[in-house]
Amino acid sequence: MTVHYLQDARKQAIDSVASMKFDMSKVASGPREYKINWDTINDRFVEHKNFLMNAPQVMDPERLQFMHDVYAEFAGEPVVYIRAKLLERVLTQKKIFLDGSPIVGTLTGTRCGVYPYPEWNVQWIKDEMQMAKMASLGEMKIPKETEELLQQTYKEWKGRTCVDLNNKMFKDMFGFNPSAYHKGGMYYENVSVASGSGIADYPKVLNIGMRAIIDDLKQRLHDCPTTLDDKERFDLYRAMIVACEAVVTHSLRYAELVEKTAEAESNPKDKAELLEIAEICRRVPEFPARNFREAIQSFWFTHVCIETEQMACATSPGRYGQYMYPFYKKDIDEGRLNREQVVALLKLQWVKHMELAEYQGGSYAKTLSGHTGQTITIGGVDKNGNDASTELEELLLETQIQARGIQPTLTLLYHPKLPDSYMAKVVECIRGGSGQPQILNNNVVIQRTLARFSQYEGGITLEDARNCGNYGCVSTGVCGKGSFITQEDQPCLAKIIEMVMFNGKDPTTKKQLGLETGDISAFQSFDEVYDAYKRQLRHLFSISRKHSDLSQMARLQVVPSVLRSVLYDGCIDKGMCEEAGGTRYPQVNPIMTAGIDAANSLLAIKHLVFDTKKITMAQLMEAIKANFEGHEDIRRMCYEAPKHGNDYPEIEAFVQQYYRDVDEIHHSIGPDCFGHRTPLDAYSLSYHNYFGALMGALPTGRKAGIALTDGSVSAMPGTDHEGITALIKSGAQAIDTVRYGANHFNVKLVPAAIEGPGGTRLLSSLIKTYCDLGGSHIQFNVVSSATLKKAQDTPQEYKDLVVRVAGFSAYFTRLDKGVQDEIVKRTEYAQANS
Amino acid sequence: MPEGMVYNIQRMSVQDGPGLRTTVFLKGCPLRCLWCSNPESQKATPQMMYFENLCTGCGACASVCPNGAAVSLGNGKIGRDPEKCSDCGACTSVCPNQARVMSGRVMTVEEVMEVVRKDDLFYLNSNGGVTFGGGEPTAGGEFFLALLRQAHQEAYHCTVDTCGYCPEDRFNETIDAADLLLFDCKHMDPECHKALTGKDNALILRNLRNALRSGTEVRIRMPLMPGLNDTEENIAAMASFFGEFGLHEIEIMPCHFFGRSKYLALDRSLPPVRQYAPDELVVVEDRFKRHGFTPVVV
Repeated sequence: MTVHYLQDARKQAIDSVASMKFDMSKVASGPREYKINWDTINDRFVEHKNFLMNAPQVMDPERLQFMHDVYAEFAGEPVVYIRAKLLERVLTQKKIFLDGSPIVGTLTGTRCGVYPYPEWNVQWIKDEMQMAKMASLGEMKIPKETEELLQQTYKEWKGRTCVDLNNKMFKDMFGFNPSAYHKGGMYYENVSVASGSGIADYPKVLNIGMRAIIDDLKQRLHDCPTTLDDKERFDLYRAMIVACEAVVTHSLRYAELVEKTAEAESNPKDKAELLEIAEICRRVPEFPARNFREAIQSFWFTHVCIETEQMACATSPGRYGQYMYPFYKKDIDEGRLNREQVVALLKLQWVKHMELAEYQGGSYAKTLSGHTGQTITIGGVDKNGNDASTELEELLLETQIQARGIQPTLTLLYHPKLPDSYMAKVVECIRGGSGQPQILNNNVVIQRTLARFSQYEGGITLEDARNCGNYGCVSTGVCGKGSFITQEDQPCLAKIIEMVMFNGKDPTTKKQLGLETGDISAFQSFDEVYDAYKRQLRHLFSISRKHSDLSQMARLQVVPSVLRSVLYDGCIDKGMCEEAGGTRYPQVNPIMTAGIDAANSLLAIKHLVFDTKKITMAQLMEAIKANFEGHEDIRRMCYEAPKHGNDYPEIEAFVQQYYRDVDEIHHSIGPDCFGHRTPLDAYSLSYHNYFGALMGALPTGRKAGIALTDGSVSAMPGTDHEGITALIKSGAQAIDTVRYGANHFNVKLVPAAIEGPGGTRLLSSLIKTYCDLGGSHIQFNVVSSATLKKAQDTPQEYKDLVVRVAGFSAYFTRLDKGVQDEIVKRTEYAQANS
Repeated sequence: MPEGMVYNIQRMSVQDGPGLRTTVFLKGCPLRCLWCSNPESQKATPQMMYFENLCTGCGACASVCPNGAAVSLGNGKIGRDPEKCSDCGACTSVCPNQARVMSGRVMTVEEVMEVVRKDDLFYLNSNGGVTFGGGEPTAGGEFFLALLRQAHQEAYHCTVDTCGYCPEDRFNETIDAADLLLFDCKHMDPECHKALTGKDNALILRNLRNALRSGTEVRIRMPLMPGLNDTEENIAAMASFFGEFGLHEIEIMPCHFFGRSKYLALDRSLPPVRQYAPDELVVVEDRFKRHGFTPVVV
């Protein structure tokens, strides 16, 4: 095969992603009928899911041993090559086993296995060994063998990890260790965890296969110029070939195992199924998939291999319902599969997503709740701007409803051209209570993508912008062509309030972390407070940016990714790995949390101290220092001071101005490590929880240690009292969602609010209005009966909880106890029957 | 500009007409129904409502009450003495828990419209609009008519939720400006009607006929009370009345006790009716169907 041919094939595959019209008619079909034992398919799903729900996750020792061996064996090779060799060692030598699923391949050598990734951070091995370890499905066990290896790894890696290197470089540059910032809850140390963020070019593997990619890489290596400037490119191609060959060997190992298992299988149906699986594993992902089954298996092997390289949050499958659609359509049209069978297969794929897990220390568990962020994007438009939604996507929704799992997650790219029937399915899924799909406003995301990447060298095409997708949580980018690193030191905006109140001296660590902006009690006007806030913010943003730039140098030096770089368009052409900015659209995402707590704090100070003069700043500070103990009256005043979320124009104008100022200060710091202007991402993950635990009382009336407000435009719990339309209007407009990289908005509903056809229309019109108003992200959380019960116990905290039953709408806490009980019962009933 | 007494403006109403709506509840009603879902809507003057479950017994109310009406309930909570309370509302402005709130405040047409306009886009996207309810909205007189005309003028879809007890000329103006009437029908027999609501139904039926002949959309709503207005005779009488207009759809609202806490908050005894058992309701629905109605339970 010539390179030209390959490049044509590759181009066709890539074009096909944009057009979603890969010409399947030219592809041979494979078998007439699948030999899957359909009799047991649902039982196998139930067994697998029950196993996940009941068995503990286990930290698997193999990768640690491989790391030790490979780093010794290949010492002296470029890091990128060692990284490829490590991936190769894992993929070609890990224990493999079958779990009864027709889709084969697991991350580790044990069921529910978790690998540690100590290259990023080893501190937890020393500090947290005795503490309980929580991963995505609950507590994780560390076997004795793994623990010993961990201790050995700690000794080998302490001082060499990404975190260590980053802090060392920072200390060399600034003369102090930045760890106090983390301990004080001002920042989160992001380089301590591997990153999965982005959407790899899965359709490239499905449509041209690994072999064609390897041949292309070999040709490029052969043709590579050999001036010293080309060293990076040369090393990368060498490494990439190793990684891609390992991906192929990995699937062939499964083929052999399946064949051996088939020999011993006596049930003819199961034997036939196994032999077919073996054939599929011999074909994909090395060669192009020819039908839906091969496509699922090819996707899954690719996904597992990406996660093996660095298992991390936000390794997102992207527009699965688009690139899988041609394979689906072909099988449906040719009678090879029916829709029920497709859902049955997808459910088995879903549990495999759920089984993937990571562990990177205790703070990681707190900030991300073990979330693996394998997000599938549905909806959206095609390259011509027309509705792209597919029937397969409706089956993804159906799978989500039936599987009732926590991974993968679904994100809808909403636009007004989505058919009513499709929206009905979306609402049905939301009604299930999982909060899924979350919704992104497609028009905003396209505008943002165009605005963001138009400044890049070579700009961006409209077609690429329309092929946008959701990377993990709520961030967005271009499918197959971009990934992001999370900016080091994601600042907690509420913590800056503490800096202002305590003259830059952190009350948690007792260290001078901020600027000395003056004694707040001596400020004569609100403007002085606001100005101090801006100065503190600028100071901390500039430290954060430097620390972030250095962190990317650390990643590049310690953990350059190889397989990821193969599968993100741009890296091969540029001859640069992902960490060096090799992807077509590299992003740095500064995630910023607790903006609403900061804005509400400023509003409370303005209202209580300066506008109404109800209390003095000194009185407020006394109450804050005492965590409001003995100052219940002041706490109540603080709590009842103006708050975001009620559609009061002057309050919302303040919040909007606040977010504009944050954005302006952020941009005044200068470009990111890739040399681009990088938008702020305003969302919380579980950081609101993590930071909240580390922070003292706030002028919002929130006490020390309590979680901060979730999202970035949600209302502080219990402070929105004008109803959902007011909340939606406030949330949609708080942030300029085109300038910002994300917003994040959670709305609570009780199931009864969205029952029946009327409920579908209601929710659709709420979504449409939110998007019309420029909102970017919205997620509807259907309130559980457990929450209702908590609201009965502590009505003050749940004043905003609206329930709608039998045409009667009310604040839950204002209802009679008997009626409340009835609603709890109804909700329990709805949950049990959904 | 006319002013009127409003006790609630509820944004995102979904049961008071098509789409997402804002419902403006006017205070005051000429009827005194045996069962009323919103007891605070009957009196046309402001009333203090006391929600015992939210009270922490802090005593702030007692310290400001000019009438000594804030009295200990003996369970750590501070209730009210209805004999002494003048509904002045002094306690509601100091209560830190919103256990004491005022129902009813004077608003101008423009003040109401400002709230209505806030959810414009929601109406547009859901084919919704504004609903005037009560109490009996038409009892708001000139204020109500001015409000309705203004909303109509601003091209909102206007729904009026009415019991029909209203001077004929005012009702005709209401019919003209409204897009939809949700017309309550409680009983066909004048004596029974009087027993259930305090008034006979002659005026109501005249207004109902006018409405049905007008071309403005009318939906019949019937609050159902077991054994009181769900009888064979009454439903037969309704069938004969509405048959004349070819009207078969009817929304039935079985009485419920979701308003229980509001009765207690007003120191009123609970209405002497009971709730339907589910199988009982099926029987009543069948009765409607046998008489040619298509009942929808709301």
